Amino acid sequence: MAKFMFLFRGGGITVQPPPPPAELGAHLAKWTAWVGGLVKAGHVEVGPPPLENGGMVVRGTSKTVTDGPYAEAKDLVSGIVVVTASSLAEAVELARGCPIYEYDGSVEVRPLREMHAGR
Amino acid sequence: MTARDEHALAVLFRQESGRLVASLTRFFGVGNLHLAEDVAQETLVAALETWSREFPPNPRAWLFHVAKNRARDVVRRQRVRRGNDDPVDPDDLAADPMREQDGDADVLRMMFSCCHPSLTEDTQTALILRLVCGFGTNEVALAFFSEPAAMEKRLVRAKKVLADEGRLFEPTLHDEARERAAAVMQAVYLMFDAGYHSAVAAEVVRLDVASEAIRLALLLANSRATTGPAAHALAALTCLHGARIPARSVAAGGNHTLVPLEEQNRAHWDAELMKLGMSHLSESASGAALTVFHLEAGIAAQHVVAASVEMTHWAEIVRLYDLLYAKKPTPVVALSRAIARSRIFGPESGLEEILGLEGRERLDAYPFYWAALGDLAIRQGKKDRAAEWLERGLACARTDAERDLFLRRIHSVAASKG
Repeated sequence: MAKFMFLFRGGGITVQPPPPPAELGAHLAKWTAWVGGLVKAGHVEVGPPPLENGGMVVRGTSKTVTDGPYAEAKDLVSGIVVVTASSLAEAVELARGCPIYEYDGSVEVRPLREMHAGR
Repeated sequence: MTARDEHALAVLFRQESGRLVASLTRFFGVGNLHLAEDVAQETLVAALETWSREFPPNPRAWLFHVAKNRARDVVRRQRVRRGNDDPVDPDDLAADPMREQDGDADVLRMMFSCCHPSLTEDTQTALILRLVCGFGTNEVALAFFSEPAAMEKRLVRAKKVLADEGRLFEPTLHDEARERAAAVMQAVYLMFDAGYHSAVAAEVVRLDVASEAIRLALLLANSRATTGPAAHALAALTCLHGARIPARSVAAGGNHTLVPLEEQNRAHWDAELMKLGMSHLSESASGAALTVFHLEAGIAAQHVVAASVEMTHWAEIVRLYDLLYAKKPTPVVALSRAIARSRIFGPESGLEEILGLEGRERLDAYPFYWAALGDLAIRQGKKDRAAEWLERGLACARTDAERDLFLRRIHSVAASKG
């Protein structure tokens, strides 16, 4: 089994103006179903907690510090999760089940390199 | 984490949005309504972000806590930006804090504020749907079959009226509150009516509008500031009609079709709502007051306690309609009374009465007028006449559900003619 990081960009969390409450609630139900399914099938690793809004960006040799948001809403990293899957193809298939696409979001699937202690 | 139904979460988000907006509005002041709406919205987005991984044991407390912290941050930021002469002083806010247990009182304040006398009844109801029930502008538009852009304009103007008032209305202020309470009850009544009649609200939001009206009517009946015979009667009325909703419209081939009273499966009526409605009805009798709500609730009660159309206590219903007509002399009430009378005196006299109604021409565009005539003609065995009237009804039907009702009737009349 290999590990993959799902980087969520954009989606319901960043869309402007925000969808009305009922739409957000119904959208959440799809997320809970999707994440719940991944957890149940043992795909989800314990990852970092959810991201807060805002933050800072440090950039350049002059180490300029600027406020977030950093990018257009659809490019903004809106969440991270680490999953295990047998192959990149399987990981991609899992990512296709994500409801983020309803709000023009994307999922970047990145294989994590395996690190062996002592080598 | 359990799988949660989309509709249940949609309803939860809407209702909690209303509570958050109400509490945040008190915190920020009604002049900052937009700020309250923004923070409520951000709070729900934060929930979307967090709850997909871990659903909180107490969603309401979670939302309230997050909203409160965000509200404090907003004030702090404003204070920093403007220096210490900010009109919103956090020390004042500490004296009037956001407390979750005040949620219902805040919702009441907001409902009363929405019923500002310079707004029309429809606008008051629309504003309650938007601010108290958390409906999006498009959903409010669907609830009134109006254009979203026009509804948005109307809501923006109405919110400005609220903001200009400077403060939220206190339901405990005696004299003024009594007057305003009547408007609040009327708004909830109109909301229920919109949700109950498929011709007023689009099918996608109709049942949610009706159940929100039931929720608010119960809140009015159960709150110390607003309870009383009229509030109990309104609660009874919404519950007793609401109890029949599950049998009143059935899904058939992707469409909803209306099922008339005599064809409804009474086993599908909501027993819980019936019980609740009957208990509020008996509480509503605690004074001398006899409002329109009392009479309409009384009529609804006669229907839900009856085992069948034949075993319905029609004489009592006619008596209640007589009293109702005295208070609300509309052609629709007169029509309903005539239909009830025809159950006692037969279709002949029913037809005679309906065709002789004062203001009958005002019913020409009302499909249920033609439905009533058609049904009476069927009971008389006059099929040609029935078909003619049902065709008139079909021509003015306003929704697919209504058209479907007429088509089925016309079809069955034609089939029985052989």
